[in-house]
Amino acid sequence: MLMKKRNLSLALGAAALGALALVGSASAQERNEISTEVSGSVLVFPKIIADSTTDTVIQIDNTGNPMAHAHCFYVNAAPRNPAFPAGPLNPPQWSETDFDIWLTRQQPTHWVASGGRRTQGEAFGQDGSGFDPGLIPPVPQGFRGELKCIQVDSAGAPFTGNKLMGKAILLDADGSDASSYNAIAIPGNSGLSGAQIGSDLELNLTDNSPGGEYAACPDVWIFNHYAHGTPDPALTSPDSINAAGCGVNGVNCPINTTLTMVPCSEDLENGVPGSVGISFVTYDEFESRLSAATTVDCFLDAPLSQISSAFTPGALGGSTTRHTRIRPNPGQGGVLAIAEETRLRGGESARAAYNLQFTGNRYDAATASNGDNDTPIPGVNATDVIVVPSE
Amino acid sequence: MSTMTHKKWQRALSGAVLGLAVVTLAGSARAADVASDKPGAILIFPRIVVDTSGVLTNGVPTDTEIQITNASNSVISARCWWVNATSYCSNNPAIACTAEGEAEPGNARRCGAGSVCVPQWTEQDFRFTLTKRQPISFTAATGLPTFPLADSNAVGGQSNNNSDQTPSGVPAVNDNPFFGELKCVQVDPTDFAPAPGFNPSNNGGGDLTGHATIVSAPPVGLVDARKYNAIALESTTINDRDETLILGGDPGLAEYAGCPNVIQMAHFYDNASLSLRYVGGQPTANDVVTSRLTVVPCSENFLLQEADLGGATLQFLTFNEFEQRFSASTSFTCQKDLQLSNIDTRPFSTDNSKSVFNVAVQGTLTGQTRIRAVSSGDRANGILGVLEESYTGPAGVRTSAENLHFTGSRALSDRIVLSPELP
Repeated sequence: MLMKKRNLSLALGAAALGALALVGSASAQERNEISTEVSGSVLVFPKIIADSTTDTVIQIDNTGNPMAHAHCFYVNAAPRNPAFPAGPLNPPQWSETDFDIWLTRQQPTHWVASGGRRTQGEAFGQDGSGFDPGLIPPVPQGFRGELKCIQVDSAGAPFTGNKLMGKAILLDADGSDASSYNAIAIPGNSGLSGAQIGSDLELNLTDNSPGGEYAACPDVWIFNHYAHGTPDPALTSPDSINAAGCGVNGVNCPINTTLTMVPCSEDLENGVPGSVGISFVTYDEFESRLSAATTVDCFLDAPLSQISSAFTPGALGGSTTRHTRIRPNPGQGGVLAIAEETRLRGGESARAAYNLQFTGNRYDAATASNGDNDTPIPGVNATDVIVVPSE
Repeated sequence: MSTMTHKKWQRALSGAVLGLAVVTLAGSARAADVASDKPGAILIFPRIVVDTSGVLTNGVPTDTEIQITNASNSVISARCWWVNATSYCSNNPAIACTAEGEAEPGNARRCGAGSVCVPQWTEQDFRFTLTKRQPISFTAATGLPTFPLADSNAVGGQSNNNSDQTPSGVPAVNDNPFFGELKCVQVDPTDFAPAPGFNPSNNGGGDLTGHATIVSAPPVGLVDARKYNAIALESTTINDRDETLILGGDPGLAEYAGCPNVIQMAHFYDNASLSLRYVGGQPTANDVVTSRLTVVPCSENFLLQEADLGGATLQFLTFNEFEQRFSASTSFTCQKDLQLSNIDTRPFSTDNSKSVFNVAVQGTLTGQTRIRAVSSGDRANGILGVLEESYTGPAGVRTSAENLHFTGSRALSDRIVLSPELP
């Protein structure tokens, strides 16, 4: 009897340890934050362009063995009259076009934004060959905006399968320049059903809020870049490539950076564009700092020099390298961002897009607003919500 | 009860249940991630290329720009290693070569008859200190011999001098051509022993972030640039400060995030002809795409160097757009850098069309490939990597680089053994 009890308590102890190990293992697998390299249930491509100079190739993969369905939305933020710059009298269109894709196990698919993907069955080795994921419409000429894909079940309800990954490649119209970035994946809470989530997808899943629906957007984006217009060190240094044509002090070989941001909150049902006030604190290699601010209305895609002169070399005495921290204003929702550098030599250019780094999340609120303090402080929670049209 | 209220109630309940699980784990090490989109305590740049004469890069001079930033509000230090994996001719150690270049029919062989291209693996270490939030940038060919705040009398007293008053510095890579890797480990600024991060907003996971941009520019013609993020391994905050870093494995021992179990790669199959710029429903141009994979081992021994520089057998599973599955495998030491079609065929272009990574075999333009390194004995043999895609269009060749996706973790750990600290 005594032995039995001892065995029982040993077994219970072993089971408890096993359970603890499982919890530990699960916590390592489940990710409660956005990622550009782990698959998720919502994919956001912040920058899709299809105009006379640039086209975009989109690749989306199902990383799981069950079939994956997704409901996708193009959000066109091109100005109503694309011949003129956007402004109060020429606001962005903020129009959405949606479509569905179905991917079999581990299936990759791709399409070109300007052409979409037809379901006509292309020949072996031709563009479009493979199981068509569904009819994907082409975007209108002059499209500038984002693509958002939400994993759903076969009935169209949100499904937190966390099996979508993607990337976008921006290609110049002359068939040469290529620039790619990974889609930003927002994981969902795999413990929730589509009925529990409904048509309003709340981005409130964090380590401190494990019952939330989808991962919260970052609190601070860590944006490493060159000061806008800095001579390219590889092209201008005598020890490096030292390319011809860069001129005195490399003035003809600058690096210009474009920042693209979209709000995390979007009301696709009512066509209400998200709007987020943003603060920037930029540090150079001499630890000098400046601040700037802007607003992201639906879609921001602007050279740094256009956002603020604080990002130019002259603003901080000619320094070249920057670490900029991007933070939405207190109480506001988050943004998602990518950047793209353009290296110039005379009339030639080379673009390179990249994903930014981040820390914290908007739902837990987090760091001091002035950017100087890392210590988390209690703040106003901000719940971003993506409202999808009811079907 | 409104829908929203009902959802909040459900959330509170499930949160309470899951919260108990979190509390159960409280007191143990934090769950650490490997990520290229977050700061970390180990920073890995898998692909560094320097060939300012273009002798191994098709005549196009090439260099790599590196950006490293201290994302925290504290002074931090780092110890770094250039890992040189450049190959040399067996009959002349002064002539650099590539296995693919030597094998390609029609190429003038650099090594000559009877000689083969032999990889070498050497490391060169350096260390530096960054002030709070400080970014630095340098090219691999030039390094950064003098740091921006080398003068300790700068305004505010900020200084890049190390705590022992030695100056911070980054040497240029010791080879040109250079093909290899850069690895940096965050260390305690006072004694240069490995350390977790300082930033409480990411729970001490680490404070280093980085990017690499590979820039190519012929004397006349197109400039090309491709950029990827350095891969960061977060600290678990367990740290015994010794020179052996434990990556993943036993949660009670792991000092840093373990490397992923499987790398997931979304890519074009080699020689895919991509239709572009549709006008009136018809494409107006085509690009031909080829891809280049670079992987490095998570386990490296900088103390024993060539006797143990990591490596593994790599198993590939590739799925095309018809859901058809193919497999391939290869092995490597220190660094593997090759075109996808050369994974399972000979290292020249003539038989690329026989590769399972070629559109001529697959029939669809894109694929998803899962890469799994085979574990050995007590070592996880994890790998990290980046992908470089080349698009050949009417105007020439342009490339883009991207970080790879991944999934899962391993029960075994990897180890990085550091070389001795400078006197």
